[in-house]
Amino acid sequence: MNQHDGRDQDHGWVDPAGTDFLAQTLGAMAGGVDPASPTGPAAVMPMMSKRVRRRRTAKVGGLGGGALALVGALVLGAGQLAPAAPDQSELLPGTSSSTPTSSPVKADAPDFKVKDGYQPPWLDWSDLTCGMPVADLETTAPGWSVAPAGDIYARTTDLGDKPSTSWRMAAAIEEGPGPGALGSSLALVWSQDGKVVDFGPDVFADPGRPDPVPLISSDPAAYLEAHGAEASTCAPTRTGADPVYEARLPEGDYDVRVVGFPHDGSLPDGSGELATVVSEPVSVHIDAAGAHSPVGTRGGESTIESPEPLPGEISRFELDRSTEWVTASMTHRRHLPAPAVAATARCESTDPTDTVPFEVVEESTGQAFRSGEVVCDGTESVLPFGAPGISGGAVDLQVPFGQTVPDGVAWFSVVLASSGSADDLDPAGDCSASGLDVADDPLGSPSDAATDTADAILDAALACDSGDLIELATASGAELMLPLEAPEDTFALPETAALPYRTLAALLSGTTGALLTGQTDDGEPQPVVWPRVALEEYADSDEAWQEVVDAGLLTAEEAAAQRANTMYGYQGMSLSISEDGTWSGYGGTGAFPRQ
Amino acid sequence: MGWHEDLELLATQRGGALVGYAYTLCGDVRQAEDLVQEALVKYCSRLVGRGGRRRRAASGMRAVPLDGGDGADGEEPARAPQHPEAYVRRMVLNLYLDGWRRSRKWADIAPRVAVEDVRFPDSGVTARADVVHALTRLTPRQRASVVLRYFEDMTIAQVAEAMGTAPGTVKRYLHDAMRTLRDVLEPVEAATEGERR
Repeated sequence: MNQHDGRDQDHGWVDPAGTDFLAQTLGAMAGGVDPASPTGPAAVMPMMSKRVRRRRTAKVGGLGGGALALVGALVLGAGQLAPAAPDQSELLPGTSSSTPTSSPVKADAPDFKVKDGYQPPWLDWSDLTCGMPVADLETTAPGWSVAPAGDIYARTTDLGDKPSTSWRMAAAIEEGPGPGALGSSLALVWSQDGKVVDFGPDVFADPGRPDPVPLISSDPAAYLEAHGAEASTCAPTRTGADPVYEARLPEGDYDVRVVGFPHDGSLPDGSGELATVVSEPVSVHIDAAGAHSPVGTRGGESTIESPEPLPGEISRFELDRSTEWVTASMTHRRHLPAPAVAATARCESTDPTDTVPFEVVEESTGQAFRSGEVVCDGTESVLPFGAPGISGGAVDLQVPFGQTVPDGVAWFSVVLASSGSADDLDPAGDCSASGLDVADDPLGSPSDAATDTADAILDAALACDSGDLIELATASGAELMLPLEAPEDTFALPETAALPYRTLAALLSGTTGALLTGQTDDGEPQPVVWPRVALEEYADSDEAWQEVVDAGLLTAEEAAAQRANTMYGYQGMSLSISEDGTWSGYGGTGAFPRQ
Repeated sequence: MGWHEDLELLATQRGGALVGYAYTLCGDVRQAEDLVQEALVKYCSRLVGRGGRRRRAASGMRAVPLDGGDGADGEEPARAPQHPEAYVRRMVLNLYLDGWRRSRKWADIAPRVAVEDVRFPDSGVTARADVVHALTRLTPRQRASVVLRYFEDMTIAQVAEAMGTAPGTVKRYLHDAMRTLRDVLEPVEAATEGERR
C-alpha cells in the first residue's frame, strides 16, 4: 500500500528492504482499532462537547494565567503585598514541627533495588538507562560543560503533614556555541560502583521555570541549582508513563554528577534536539542524617548544636562543617504571612572575625527582601526584620549570590521566625474568609440558577467549608485556576497563598454578575461572570470598576491602571457560572484584548 | 458550520481512523483514544473566530490562533483550517511527541503496555507481534518518523515539516529506526507471505 516510488523530495533517502511489511503492520494496527469502541471519540462525543464548552467558557469567562500572580495583592488590597507565584498553590501554610526530616530512609519506604535497563520516561529521547556504566554517561552537547560548585544540601518541606526532602547543589555551566540553550533544570545523577543508580528528578516536568540561585556555593559565578530526587528514579515501584518512585538511596558512598540536557535550537520554535552535558563526579556520602559532601580542609570544631525549633519558626538554614562530612540543609516549617519576622543567627569559625552574610528570599521568585550578616564568634544574634513585606509562601535563607562562606566556618545557622505572638501568626485562622464582615447574599445576576449556585459558593466560602466548595466545584466540573488545579488543592485548608475563600466572598458579595453572550451555540447556556467589569461591555463602566475596588479586589490605583490598559482591561480574579447553574470556572482573568 | 458540527463529523466519521493513526504512534489503544479526544477538544476549543463567532471575536474577546500561539499578542483571530482532519492529525502528533518528552503530560493515564493489547480483530490482516513489539523499542521521534513515512506515506521533506525538524534529522531517525527493526523485518518476508493482504 505505501509506495514511495517517484518521490522527488526524499533527499537521497532510499527505503531499505522490509519497509513494505512495516507499512502493512502499521496499517493493520490502525485498521484493527475498533471504531465502535465504548471509549472512542464517537462514543464520548457528549463528554468532548462539554469539555469544549467548558474550555471556551473558561477562556472567555475569566480564566487565564496572566493575572494569577496578582491574587495576593488583589485580595488583600495592600500595597506592600508582592505577587504570588503560580506554583505557590502547593506551598500551603503549616505549623511548626520538630520532626527530624533529613533522614534519607523512610520507615515505610520500599527496599532499594536498581532496575537495570529501566529508562525514566522523560529520558526516552536518549540512550540513558538505569544501571548503565557511568563511564558511558558522557557529554554529547558540543562545546557545553558543567561543573559542581558547592556542597550538597537538603531542601526539606516540613509543614506538619508529610515532610519531603530533596537534594541540591550549586553548579556552574558553560554554554556551547550556537543557538542551543538549557531549557530545563540540572539534575544530580548518582552512581555507585560504576553504575548509574539514580537519574535525579524529571527536569522537564516544569519547563520554563527559572532555577533559583543556589543557597550556598563555592564558586561566586555559579548561578544554577542542580536537583536531586527525593527517591531514586532508577528504583521505580511502578513503571510506565506515570511511574512511582519511593525507594531512597541507601546509606553509602556515591559519585554524583551534575547533568544537563541542553537542546541545539534547531527547531523553528526555538527548541531542538536534546543532548547531554555531564560534569566530573564529586563524592557524596549518605547516612541516616542525610547526604554530605566531604569537608576537606574547611571547617573545624564547633560548640554549637542545632537549635530547637523556635516558636513560629518559618525557615532555617544550617551548615555544619564540624565533622568530616558537611551537613547543609534548608528547612521550611511554615509559610508566610506573618505580621513580623526576626532572624536568629549563629556562626563559629576558626577565625572569629569571619562573617557570613545572608539573605531572606521569597522562594517562588528568588527575590531577597531582607539581608543580614553574622559574626562568627559563636554568639547568637537576633535581627528584627519587622513586617516581611511579602504576602505569603515559602521563604529561603541563603548566602547572597556571588559570596561564599569562609573556609574556617565550622557552623553557620540562621532561623527565621515570626516575632509576633502565636495568635498573630495567622490572624484569620486557617481561612481568609473567617470573620469576614460582608453580605451573605450575592449581589445578583441575570440568571436565577446562576445566582443560586453563587449563593451556595458564597455560603461555603464564608463558612470556610472546604468540603462544600470541593463538592460544588467537582460536581460542576469547574476549572479552577491556571495552571488548572484540583478542587482539593484550590480549597485546601490551611488556605493557599491565593486566599480563595476571601476572594470568592469578595467577588460574590461585592460585585455584580453579568451575562457573557455570544460564546455558546444558540440555546446553550451562557456564562455569567463576576465581576462584570471583566466583560468588554462594562470595561468603561465607572460603577463596575468601583465595585471591584469596594470589594477589595483591587486598590483604586490598580483599578485605574487596569482601566487605562486598553488592551487587557480588568486583570483580577473572576468567577463564571453558566446560566443553568453549572459552576464553570474560577481564576485569574487572562488576556482579554479590547478592541 | 459551528464547532459542534465539526466535532461530530470528525468524531463519528473519522474517529476510528484518527484513533488508528494515534495507535500507530503510541501503541496503546486507550492512550490513542485519549490523544484523539484531546486533539479534538483542543481543535474545537480554538475555533473562536469561526462562523457565528466571527462577530463575537470582533467584539473584543480573545481569539486564539490555530498555529499554537495564544492570541494574546495581537495576532489575527483563528480561522478554520482547510483540512480539519489533517490539522487534528498534526495535533495528535504534537501531543504524542510533546507528551512523551514531558511525560507528566500523561500522568493521569494509566500505563498500558501495547504488545499485550494489540488487537486486529476485523482487519483481516495478521501483524506479527514481534514487529509491533519492536516498534516499542523506538524513541518517540523515531517512531513518529516511521509512522509518517510508512503509514502516512509522506516524503522525507513532508515528515521533516510535520515534525518541525530537518530532512537530515528525519533520515537519521529513520536510519536508526530501521536498524532497530532490522532483525524483525528482514526474515519476515517469506515467513508471513501468506498472511498478507
